[in-house]
Amino acid sequence: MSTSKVTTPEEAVAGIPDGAVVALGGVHSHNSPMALVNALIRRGVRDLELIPTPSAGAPVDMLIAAGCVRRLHVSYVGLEFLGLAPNFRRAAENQSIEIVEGDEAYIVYGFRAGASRLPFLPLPPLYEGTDLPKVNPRIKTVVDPYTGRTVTTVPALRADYGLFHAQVTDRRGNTQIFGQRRFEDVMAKACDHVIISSDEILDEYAPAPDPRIVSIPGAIVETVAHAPYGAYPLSSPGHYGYDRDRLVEYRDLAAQDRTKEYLETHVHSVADHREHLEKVGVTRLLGLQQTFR
Amino acid sequence: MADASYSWAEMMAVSIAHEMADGDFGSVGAASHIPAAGLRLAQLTHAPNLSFFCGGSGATNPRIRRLTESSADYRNLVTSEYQFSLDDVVDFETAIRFDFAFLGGMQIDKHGNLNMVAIGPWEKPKVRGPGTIGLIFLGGFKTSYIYTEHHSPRIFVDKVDFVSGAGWLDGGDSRSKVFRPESDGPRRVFTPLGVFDFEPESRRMRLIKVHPWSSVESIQAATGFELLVADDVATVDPPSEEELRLLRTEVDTDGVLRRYPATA
Repeated sequence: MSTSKVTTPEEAVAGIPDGAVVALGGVHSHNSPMALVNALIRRGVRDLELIPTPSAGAPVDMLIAAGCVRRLHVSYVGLEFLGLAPNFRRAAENQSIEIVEGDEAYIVYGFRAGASRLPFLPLPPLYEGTDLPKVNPRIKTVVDPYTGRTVTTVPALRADYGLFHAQVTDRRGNTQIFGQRRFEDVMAKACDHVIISSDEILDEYAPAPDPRIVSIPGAIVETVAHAPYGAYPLSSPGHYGYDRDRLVEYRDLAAQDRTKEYLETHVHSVADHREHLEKVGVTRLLGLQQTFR
Repeated sequence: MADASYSWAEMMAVSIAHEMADGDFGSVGAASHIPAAGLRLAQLTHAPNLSFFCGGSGATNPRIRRLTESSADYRNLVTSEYQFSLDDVVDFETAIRFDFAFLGGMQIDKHGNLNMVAIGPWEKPKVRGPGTIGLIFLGGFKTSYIYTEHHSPRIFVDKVDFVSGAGWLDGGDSRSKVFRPESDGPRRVFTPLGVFDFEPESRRMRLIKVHPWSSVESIQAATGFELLVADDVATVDPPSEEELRLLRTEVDTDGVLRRYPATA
């Protein structure tokens, strides 16, 4: 039998050093690897260079509040229907983190280039006329050797570690993500080490899943963290919805610059993900369940 | 003129629906209930061949009969006919395949340029916004619709502090010197107070329709630059009974839009 890649969320991120470049999955209030993020915060990791998906939210805001982030590549960091991300906003206004001013094209084309180890990608006129190239020196121009025209380029993005949440993963790391947009597969190809947190681990005697629903192949997955409710308080598509009340509680505390209290309750006062779930409680967790199968 | 039988958000969704063309193919962003409702209403009335996808989830033509507060809600996705991957989305955005997109900003200027990055200087912003996300693709949509739920001089400014999304740039023919000819600037602006276009010569924002509780004067007072006003500017009719029935029974069964105030 092949070696199992399954471990705990805490073990899964134990080797991520200060200063690492980390790619982070999830879209808005959905499908971010919160158990892994909490474990990083609990460890007190420092100086991360963070490259989240183009629609990032609470986990990025929490990592900033916890002092884990040195440099952030921004497309969107906000709380969607709950407004601005307070800690990101404060950090930008106080210049306490370095911001690489990007957008959806910068992140998506950057990871596409990184996945193939292309040096950069040239784009048709999009950035021209905007202020992004003025504040992001990584957006450059080059002469197109085929037409002689000057075109704008975005750099390849690669990360040391990629952290993603999935609904079901097998022991070999074959990963099923039921949710949105299916960009994690491209990001994963641009990461040296891929760590998946997964609500469920497929039993070794279970029938093999239809390969068409496997989103990331086990061949490029290094570690699988078994994390039931591992996206909480965000949603895990098809398994559970987001905990709206908890997200509002986070937003309100963060807006009052009291994020420390939230992190104390939900991260620092518990030893690990299991203890966190015990603290949240069965009633609350089961109330979020959503089944679509 | 207050009319408690419908809300301003329902009126705005109807105004959006009226401007949509049958057969068009476009996108709405995250946290965009009102445009999403307008597009669904258009599909159920004059534009059955209109197609749209929801940013955030990539859900194409969701048939869900309620408005989800997050466009990336899984229920949006499982009721759709196709799931766009983010790769699809940027391909279509870059290749000028989308007929339209709905976009907003924390600042919107008289030429429809949008800012989602910073109020004040970028290096030391007074207010840091969430970021540019898809606004860069104003250079890759055939046209775009700007919408905002807040019509105030703080939003509608003479010149944005930071250009995240390029509208008609400095007006006149300045846009066509920069972008591909297939990609036009914004076509309409929808706000709680009315509907606007961009005058074809100057490409300045121009009032064309006034919502029932508003007036040319009050809209000008809520705008931080001098508005152009179309010769045939008119107050729009309130939503029809059939439009309200469709909105409340087919599009928004939870009454999300209904809970907005009657007037803005």
